[in-house]
Amino acid sequence: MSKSVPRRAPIIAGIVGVAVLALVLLFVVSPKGGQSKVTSPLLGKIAPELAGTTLRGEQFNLDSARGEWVLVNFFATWCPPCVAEQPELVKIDASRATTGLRVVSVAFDDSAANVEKFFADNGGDWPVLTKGTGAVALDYGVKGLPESFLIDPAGTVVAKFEGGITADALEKYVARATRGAS
Amino acid sequence: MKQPHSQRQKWWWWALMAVILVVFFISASGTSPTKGTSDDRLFAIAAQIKCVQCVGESVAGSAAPIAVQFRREISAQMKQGQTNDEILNFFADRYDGVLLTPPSTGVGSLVWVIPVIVVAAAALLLAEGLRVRRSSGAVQPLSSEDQALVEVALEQRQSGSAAKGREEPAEPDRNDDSGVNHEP
Repeated sequence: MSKSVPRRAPIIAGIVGVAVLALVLLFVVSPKGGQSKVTSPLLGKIAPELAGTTLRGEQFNLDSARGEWVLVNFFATWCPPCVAEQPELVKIDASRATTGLRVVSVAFDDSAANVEKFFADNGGDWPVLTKGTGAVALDYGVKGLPESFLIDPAGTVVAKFEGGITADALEKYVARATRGAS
Repeated sequence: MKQPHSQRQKWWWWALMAVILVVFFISASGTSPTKGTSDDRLFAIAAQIKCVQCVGESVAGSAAPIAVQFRREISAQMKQGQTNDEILNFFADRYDGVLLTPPSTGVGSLVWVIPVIVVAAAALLLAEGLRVRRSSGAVQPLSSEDQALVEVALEQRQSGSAAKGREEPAEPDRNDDSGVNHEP
């Protein structure tokens, strides 16, 4: 009876060994904290629906912007990095004629009155959505503010930017992508 | 008829295991609701989603604006009659790694499988160890043939050691503290 012990023990030890090895493997392949690569499940997919009444009372629908590059920018008036980013967005919008890139802003958790004052103080003249934008932010997977999504003329999300963006970096990105596509 | 001591011990062991299992399943089944629009259900779902703006907090316990928006969305989807899984999948589709519960597919499933394997192997080892201990503890009475063999072996050993003792000179006592140097 006790002869079976030496036969079973290595098998059990082997099972435990494989399990421990698998745990170590899991630890090695799992993403570590501090890796700040910007990813989004939306990349390479058609942008989620974005439509509504703008601050000026006009209707906006992202689908109507097909054929153009669009930067969808999520912001809030109470967010200091968003205030710092606004001049760069103004630059991007100003060079729309040459870059073919338009800006659309989506205010998150903010009032229309605050947004109106924000644009009056910091500049900017492009469509701004303020109503029902919480659900839109979730559709885009917004984590923090400001956050921007670059949408190509086919309506596909090609890049996500967390934190403030600069006009230079964005224009270079669009120029490179346009050259790559042609 | 009186039961042997080991059998009574076994009975109590299995009864204890059964009680532990029953308590475990009762406590597991009495968890959060999966239907309706109650706050209990909302917070139970929210507790399974990571707050994407916070460190080490779930959507249930966070006051961050995005966590508040997450709770609004959960509430809206509960009112629409979505199941818990459908609501959790809604967030998982939009945010990478947002669920606090590890996925049951892919590499992440190892988190679920490995502990089961380790516990099963540990139980096997324990059972094996107990079995070996029990079998080695039982003393079998010697047969008359075995007894005779043992006596012969003992005699041989005694006579062998006596002969060896006559051939080898006695070793000097190294603990001798008489002050005489025995070294050459």
